[in-house]
Amino acid sequence: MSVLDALMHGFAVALQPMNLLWALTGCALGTAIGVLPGIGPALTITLLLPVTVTMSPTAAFIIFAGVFYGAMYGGSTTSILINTPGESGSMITALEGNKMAKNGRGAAALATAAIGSFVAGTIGTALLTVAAPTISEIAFVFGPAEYFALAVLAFTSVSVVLGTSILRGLVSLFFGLALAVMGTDYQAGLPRLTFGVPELSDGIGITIVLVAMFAVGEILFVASRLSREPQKVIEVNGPIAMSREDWRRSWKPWLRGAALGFPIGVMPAGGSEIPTLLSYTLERRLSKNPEEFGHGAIEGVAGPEAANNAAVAGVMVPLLTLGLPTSATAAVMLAAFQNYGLQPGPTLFTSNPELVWGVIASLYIGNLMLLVLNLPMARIWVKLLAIPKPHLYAGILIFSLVGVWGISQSWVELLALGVLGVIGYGFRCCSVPIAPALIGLILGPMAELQLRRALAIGQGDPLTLVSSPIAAGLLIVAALLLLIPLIRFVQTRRSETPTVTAA
Amino acid sequence: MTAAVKSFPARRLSRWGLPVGVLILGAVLLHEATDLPLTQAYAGIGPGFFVLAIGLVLTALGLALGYQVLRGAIFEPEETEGADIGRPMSWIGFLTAAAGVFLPIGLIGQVGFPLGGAVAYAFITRAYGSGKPLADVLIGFAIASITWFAFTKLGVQLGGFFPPGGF
Repeated sequence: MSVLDALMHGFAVALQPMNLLWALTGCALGTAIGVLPGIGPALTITLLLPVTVTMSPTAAFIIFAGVFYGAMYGGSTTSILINTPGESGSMITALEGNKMAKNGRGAAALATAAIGSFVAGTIGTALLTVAAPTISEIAFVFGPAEYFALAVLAFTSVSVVLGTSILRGLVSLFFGLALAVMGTDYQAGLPRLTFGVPELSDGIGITIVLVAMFAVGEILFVASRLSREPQKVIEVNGPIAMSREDWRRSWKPWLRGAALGFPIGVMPAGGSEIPTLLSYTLERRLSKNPEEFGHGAIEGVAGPEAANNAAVAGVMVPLLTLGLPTSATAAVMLAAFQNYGLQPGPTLFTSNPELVWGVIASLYIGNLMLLVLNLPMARIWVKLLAIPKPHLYAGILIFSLVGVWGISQSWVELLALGVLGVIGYGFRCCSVPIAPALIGLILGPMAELQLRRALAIGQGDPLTLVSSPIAAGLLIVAALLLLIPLIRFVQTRRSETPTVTAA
Repeated sequence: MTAAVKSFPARRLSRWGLPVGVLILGAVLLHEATDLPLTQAYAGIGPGFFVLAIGLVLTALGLALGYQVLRGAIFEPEETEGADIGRPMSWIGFLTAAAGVFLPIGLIGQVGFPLGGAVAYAFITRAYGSGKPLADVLIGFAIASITWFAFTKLGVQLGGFFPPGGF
């Protein structure tokens, strides 16, 4: 079956009325949580997990994909109108977009963000359509050693890239790995780190960790350092549209943003922060009037917004083809696949084509829906910010409790929610990134399983781990990712005065 | 910043929180690893291997963080929407919110999700500066009840509505 045939079959699935409705639900929900503070796409999908259990996996993933894409659109609206990026990928948008809004150009900023997101999201989805089947073919040669190497690469890159310090990135990763080994060891049947508590013999649920670290940690942190400044939403008058001049200045940054965002999104730990930053730097350098940057340059909104949406499409590639999550949201989606007993990877394309292609087709449809939802309706979404903060955060806690209590109605799990929430609070107090912990928790069991398999095949010889060029190559890249910053750090320490900042 | 740290002994002490926490976690894993077999006949590594490796790395990370603190490093909080990280930590805000998180542990099983949720709701709204506890309990009860009905309809098991009353 050619890619085009497969995609057409996908559209046949995605265009079914119920699936269109799910896509719309996901997109609307995604936009809403992108606008609201305190709740992001990873947490939303986690909280949806218990609800979607009763649905077909295709319907569930159409919703999840809508949430994932929609959060990027919603995040840009708040970045522009109140200078609070709802998502980390929208941080750069806040820089220029908010300045534009203050200069009375809010409508143009919103328009270039939404249209750019649509253009780049569609380009990204097209690239995903072409790249995914090809990469999944390559993945067929992956054995245990390659999968182990891939997991190690994901671990190191996630810890190095996310957050302010490698050391703290690694702390987060190994905290996640420690949680991952909890429970009964599958090979020997021995309990590990269960402290004699029977509820822990199945390990600690991913949902609990996610809800605790993201929602409860945030609720505690914001409550302890509550900002007393009222939010100021900048009013936008007139229709949300762009002038001819705005179009002329926007289209190239959109395309360049898409070109940067997609490949970086595909890479382990590429995420959406780096491409947006790169796109911003590139646009400033290429601009004929770089002095406008920092005072509301439309290129500085168009490029990064395009880049972050293309990166989201890129993140789907390793997730669908290798089962490798490269962002917190992708990690949750992997957990969702596992809930359905599905293993993303090369076989998914042959065993569940209607799911994979249905979801990919729904990404095209979702992008179009999001353009319609966001362009004329941006003002309506902003109204969500009128929800008083006390009720917003209390509401988030209620949904978190549903998510955890709904699993097995056990007070032990509620206690774990509280304790991990306090740890999540501690992470925020010391700027320890949370995503590496999730990647460690979700990929940890896979890494251990594949390592054991590889060693069993190699009769215990550790050299078997580097015997194939792919595995060796992946491990070398992983080692370089860790070593290069370390060498740089030592070099700067030698050349500079002995003042130490937290590296 | 150093001056500010020196003038607050509590803050100087709290800088050690991260390295000490990481070291404790590392110690727990190392202790656990001693009870687990490290190797297994043909598979090369046994259930204890990963536990030992993670414990060793965490211990090393804890020591490295401790070294950073000794050299004067300060771990600043993260920029978060809605939070002002320039403000000193408010214990009242933190503990009120924590009560909202921890009270439902005992409550939900006893009095059911809607009532337990209402109590949690009221504590969180209080922590976020709301001054109407009674209204908040009622709003919380309404929201938790609607959530209970909706999710139960969707097939999520949330227990009885009010177990003591037999619902």
